[in-house]
Amino acid sequence: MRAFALAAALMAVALAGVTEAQAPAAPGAPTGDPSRGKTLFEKTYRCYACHGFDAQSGSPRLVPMTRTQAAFTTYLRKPASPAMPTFADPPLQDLADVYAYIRSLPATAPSAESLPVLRDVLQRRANQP
Amino acid sequence: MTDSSRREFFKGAALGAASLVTSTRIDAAAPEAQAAPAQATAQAPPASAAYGSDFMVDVLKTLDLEYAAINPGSAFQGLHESLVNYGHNTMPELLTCLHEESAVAMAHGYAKAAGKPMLVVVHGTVGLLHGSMALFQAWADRVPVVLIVGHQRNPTGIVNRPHSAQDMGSLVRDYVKFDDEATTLERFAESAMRAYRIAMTPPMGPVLLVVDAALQESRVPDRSALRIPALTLASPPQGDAVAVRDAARLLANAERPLIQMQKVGRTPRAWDLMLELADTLQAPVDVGTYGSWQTFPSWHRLYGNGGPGYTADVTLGLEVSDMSAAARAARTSGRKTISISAEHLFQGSNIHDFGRYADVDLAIAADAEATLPALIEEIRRAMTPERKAAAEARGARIAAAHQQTQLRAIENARFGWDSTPVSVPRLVAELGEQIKNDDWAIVSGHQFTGDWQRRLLNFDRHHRYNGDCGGFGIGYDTPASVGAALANKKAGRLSIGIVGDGDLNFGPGVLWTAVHHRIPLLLVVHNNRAYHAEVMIIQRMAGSRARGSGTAHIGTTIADPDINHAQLARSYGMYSEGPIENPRDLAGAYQRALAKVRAGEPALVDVISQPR
Repeated sequence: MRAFALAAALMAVALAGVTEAQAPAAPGAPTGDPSRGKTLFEKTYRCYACHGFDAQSGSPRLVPMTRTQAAFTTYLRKPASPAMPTFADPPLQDLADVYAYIRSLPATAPSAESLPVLRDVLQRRANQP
Repeated sequence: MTDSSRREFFKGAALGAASLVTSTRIDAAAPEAQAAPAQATAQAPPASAAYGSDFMVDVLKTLDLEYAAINPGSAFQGLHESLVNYGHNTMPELLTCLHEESAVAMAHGYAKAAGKPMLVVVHGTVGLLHGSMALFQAWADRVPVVLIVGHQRNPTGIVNRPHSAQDMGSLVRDYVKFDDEATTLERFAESAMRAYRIAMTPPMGPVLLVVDAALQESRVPDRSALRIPALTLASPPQGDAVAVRDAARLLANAERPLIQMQKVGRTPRAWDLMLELADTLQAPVDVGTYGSWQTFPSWHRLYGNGGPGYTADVTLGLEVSDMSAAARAARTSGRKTISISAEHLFQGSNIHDFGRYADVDLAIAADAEATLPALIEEIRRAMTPERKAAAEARGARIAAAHQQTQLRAIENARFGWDSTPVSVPRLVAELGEQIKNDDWAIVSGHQFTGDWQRRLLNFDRHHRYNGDCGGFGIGYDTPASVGAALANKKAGRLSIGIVGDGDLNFGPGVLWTAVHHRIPLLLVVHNNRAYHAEVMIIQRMAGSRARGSGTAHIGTTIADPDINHAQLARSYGMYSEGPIENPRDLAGAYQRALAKVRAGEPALVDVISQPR
């Protein structure tokens, strides 16, 4: 039972890590510059504050980025979640650059099984009576 | 020392004065006693109290106060001199602090780990005001601290006058349970006993004794004419028997009971009782986001909210300050809520930490810990064989759901595992790997590390976690960690504080105190170079006003220049590692720092971290 539970949990997370196909930019939308986007992400709009510098150690994770650039822009202009700040004033080019930067970041994480420290924690938790 | 012999808070009058006066003293050969060779050795005390402050020391020595945290001030120069030379600097032993806020916060952390108060002595007005913030936190956390403030009631000079007040206690009366200024030595003795008793009676809290400098420095013509009354602690209030029986029946007949706890886990006894209650009911235990102590094992099969779809039909709140949301939801759907809390004995407060009014179905004004034995017994009586069978089946379902949830939560630590700056889960997990064979205790709160401590570390003993600050004020974690580590030193426990860079910089002088008094403690600095919650808050505020999306760092970040906390620690004489930016360097840094701590010294590891 314990082994099953551990395996099931690992499978669930592995599935969550599957990368979606790269979404094309909308016609007429600015083309993003990932290098400039990094500066905006880290120094200007400080997206890292919630999402992490890697866009995956924070919450919610931004990679793999599954939104199209248009959907990304729309969401930032009017977020559905009250926890997400509204970015109404940044120019479209800035948002395109941030989007391009996020798309350039590694979207995968190592499996728990490959990390001895984490594997040990999982095993000890699974062995709890 | 075992769990059952520590944190014996609140056993009530049964323990009383006898046990208090026979408590252990600091080992004369302990490193603290050798810590300051440059200081003069305290002289053997005179045969009998010659001064008022000598008599005050006689009184304080009956109160099992091992330590007195001080920052010196002339308003208590008489008492200071008596503590050192008449009292021989033992029971209490002075702890030199570089700020009164550090002194009181140390006492706060110490009390939660040791199960008894520390004495703090501060200067008139200025020292009291410096300490007032930490006093507020202890008050909000319902933790006992015995505070003495010197008072030059008849100041003679330009320097002394600001250290006097018409009503000294009024400066902090909003966050002490009791304050008094005795006018005679006998009244001081009575007031001290009363203060200690009040501090230790649930709901607990800090108390203040104002001590006139002239009274301290007065001559005692005949010590035998001065009586010190016996200390008798008050037994904590237990819930009314009829109400407890009603609560037990509701819980025993519930299909989906839920236990919520907040400030119930003061003692190892409470820990055992909580396990017994959860096991009897086979009910999930929700400890909430923040807490004053670890109240339930974090990897226990019943730890959690019951899993997806588990909607409680009866919710029991134990020392939960605000059950209003649960009560409102229950009212609209016919579900029941019960609150057992010493908070119902409310006697007034200027601070709104009592939350919103909760229209629970049953409110029992009592100390939850003291009431648990009777409640458990009544639940057992009310459980028919059918109800027991239903509870067992429920417990199995909950355990399965919790395990799935918790394994998935742990597994999420892999995201950002190799990132620079270091991810918070990796910071915690690598630490856990290094201490898993120690008898460890996390002596800081976890307010700014998400829930990663409880996910990745097995909080399987009462002392594993010393809780948050109570008042949600920054600057508690570092000094409270030092105070708790002092208590844990006697128990042979490995103390670890995970503190924010913002927290540490409120009063870094406490690092010197830890070094000076040889207090073994590993401080891990979660250094995200910002008051990070505030960055996000300002981002949201600016966003809601559709302006300034790029300005959230102004006034919220701690960069340019970056602070090197390892270098800072070294300047106080503390061993340090860092700043660590590469997660692969963590394990080695922890190992080297922990070697120092295990040898009896404090050490610090500065980790440049992801925001949260």
